[in-house]
Amino acid sequence: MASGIKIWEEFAKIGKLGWQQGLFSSHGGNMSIKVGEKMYITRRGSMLGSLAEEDIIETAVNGIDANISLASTEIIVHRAIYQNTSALAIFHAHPPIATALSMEYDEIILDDSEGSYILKKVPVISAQKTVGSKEVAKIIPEYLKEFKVVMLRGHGSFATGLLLEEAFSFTSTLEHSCKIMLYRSGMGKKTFRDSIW
Amino acid sequence: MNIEYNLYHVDLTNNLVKKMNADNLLMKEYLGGRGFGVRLFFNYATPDINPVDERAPIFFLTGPLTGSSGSLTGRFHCVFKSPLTFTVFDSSCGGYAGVYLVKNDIHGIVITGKSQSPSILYVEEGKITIHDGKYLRGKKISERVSKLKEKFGEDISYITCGPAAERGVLFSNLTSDNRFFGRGGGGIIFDSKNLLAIVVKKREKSTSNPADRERFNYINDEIDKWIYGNPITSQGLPEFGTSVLMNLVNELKLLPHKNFQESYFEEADKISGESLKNKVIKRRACMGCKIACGRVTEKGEGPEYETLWALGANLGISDLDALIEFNKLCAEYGVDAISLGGSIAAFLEINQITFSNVNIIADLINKTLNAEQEGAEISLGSKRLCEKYGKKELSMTVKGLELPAYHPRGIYGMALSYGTSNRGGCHLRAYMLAPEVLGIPKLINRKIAKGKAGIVIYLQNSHCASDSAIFCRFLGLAVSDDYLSRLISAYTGLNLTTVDYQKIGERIYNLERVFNIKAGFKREDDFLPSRLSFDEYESMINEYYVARGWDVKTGIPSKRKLKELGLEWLLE
Repeated sequence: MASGIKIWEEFAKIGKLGWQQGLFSSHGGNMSIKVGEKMYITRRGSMLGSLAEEDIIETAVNGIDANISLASTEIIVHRAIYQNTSALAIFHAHPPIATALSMEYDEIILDDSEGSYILKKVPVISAQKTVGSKEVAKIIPEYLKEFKVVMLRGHGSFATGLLLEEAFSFTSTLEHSCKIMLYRSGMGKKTFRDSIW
Repeated sequence: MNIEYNLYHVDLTNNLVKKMNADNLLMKEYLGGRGFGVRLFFNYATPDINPVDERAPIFFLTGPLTGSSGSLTGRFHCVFKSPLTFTVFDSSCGGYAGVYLVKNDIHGIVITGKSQSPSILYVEEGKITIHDGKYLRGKKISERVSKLKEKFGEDISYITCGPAAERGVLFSNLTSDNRFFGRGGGGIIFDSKNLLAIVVKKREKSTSNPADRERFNYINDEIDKWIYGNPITSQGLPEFGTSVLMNLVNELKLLPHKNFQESYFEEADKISGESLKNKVIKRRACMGCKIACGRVTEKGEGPEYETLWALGANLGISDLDALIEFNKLCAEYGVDAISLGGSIAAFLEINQITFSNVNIIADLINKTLNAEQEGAEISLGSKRLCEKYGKKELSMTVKGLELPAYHPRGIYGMALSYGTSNRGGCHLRAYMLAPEVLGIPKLINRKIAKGKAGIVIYLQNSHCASDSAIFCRFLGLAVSDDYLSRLISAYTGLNLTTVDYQKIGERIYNLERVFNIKAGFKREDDFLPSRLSFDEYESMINEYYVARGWDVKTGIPSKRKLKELGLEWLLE
């Protein structure tokens, strides 16, 4: 993976930033990019805040190969997203405040300036099995055809983008806006308004 | 769907004007503009047709949002087979004619045949009539416009070619309200049909009729927030026009100089947007535009960044007054400044003539516009010129189209987008300047090859859909596809997701690719001139083909891909 060194460096940079922002626990979250018919995804059980070159697994977007056994548990969802949307990068995290809100609401409408400009609205979906499940793989891509980020209730976020940095930035914006919402609710303010986005 | 698309066929051979049946299904799959034109081309001719054969069609098409109150939706599109490149060709133009057509209940015109005598198409009160156009022959564009206004009134919009088309300059273009269908030789198609102009009478009629007005207005307001909030669309372009790029591109050593022998021009600042600002007497906007990137000097509209580069930096000219004069000549004769500059640069290098001499360049420009003496060779474009001299390697073209103002050796995604552009060497198909220089959506390393193909493909598809909707390219600098697909949905009732929008673009790009293959283009035509290529380029092409679902050895779209896109009819 000669040129893959650059890919690995990008994963490590984004992973470290995500961990520093508290978007996942020590071994939580995963991310991938699509290059042609291949994808590069983080290793199962890797620490996103401290990724090494061997933590990036190359595998096929369609079909199956031996590397599947090394890939993140969520690879089924990543593949389904690539197969059904025009995404080139996926960032999956467990942002605590957004996840908490997802357990209370069916959609998260962001009304601070940054959130309303960039994301506006994030749908929340429910599933019986929330980790690496076919059910999630079927539902999530449908929402990502229209939205930049989707929350899986009680589990975490799936964000897509043209670039890994872009997908990460959407997740970061989501959590930041949710934090503002939380502060406002502590002040007794109503947080959600309607949105026709 | 909330849109009725009225398409008219004008047969100049038989003097017939016929209203065609609108096909809503086709609109769902191609939207309008560029996509509609390429798809409909197959109904009128085969891709191997000679572009100047009288049966070859030329289309002028609006999009579903033309005439709406949507921001930056006032443009319209022209589609034809290029006499310069022999590829499928589309070109976008601002001005007013597109909106005026819609206000006349005409959404598109396809023109075939050849008139027995010079003709003008005239649109008024929703009707198209054919008029004598002899009195426009041989006239420069400003004179043509004066004559047209004398005849049809001041309240008109027009599309016309210039005298360069009559003289066979292969990169003659079409002008509309001082804006241009810039590239590819549309003027030659007009001349081949004995068509001198299309005139559209202004008509007062409200045409903004969204399917869901509340949602449309909301999304449009959200788009405006980004236009006003983005420093490129709210400050850089309004303040300096497109030539805001000159110093920026030069500092990154991406500005081609001396027929791309170098990538830095010492005197670029003298011809930059900052310097041009002192010569600008007013700004100008297309219909419905909030950016107003157009500059007007005492000599008229322009020059644009690409003109300042093609006739300036690339030829070593830093005399801004001379460039403003050259720009005026291009506008009066009706030629594409990029192809003109690229062809003259090749001529200078072939003949080992010194660059940077204003008098020599001015003389060559005049001779080329009139196709006289050595200008006759230059007027056939860089590719034919270099082939004639046995110096093919000095032609800085892809598929016969002269390359624009970004040196590909320093910007790999742009290089790939040049190579795989369906209309030949063009920066606008993917506009990789956005991620590789401007940082939209995020800045990426310009000189990394791996992984770029996916981004190029995404943007090529996106811009196909954008050119079909039709949005100004600059709107894409402010907002992402999800805004645009939502705006179309709210206006038309089509209910498009971002993925649907991308899929429409992918369908169009593949259709254009098949057109070119049927016209005789091959894998090797996706490569850059040797001067501009680099070690990783072939691996980028291979990655691109795989990601596109095209055969790696031939570059032909697979049957599976064509079926997936609803293009199985191409296999018949």
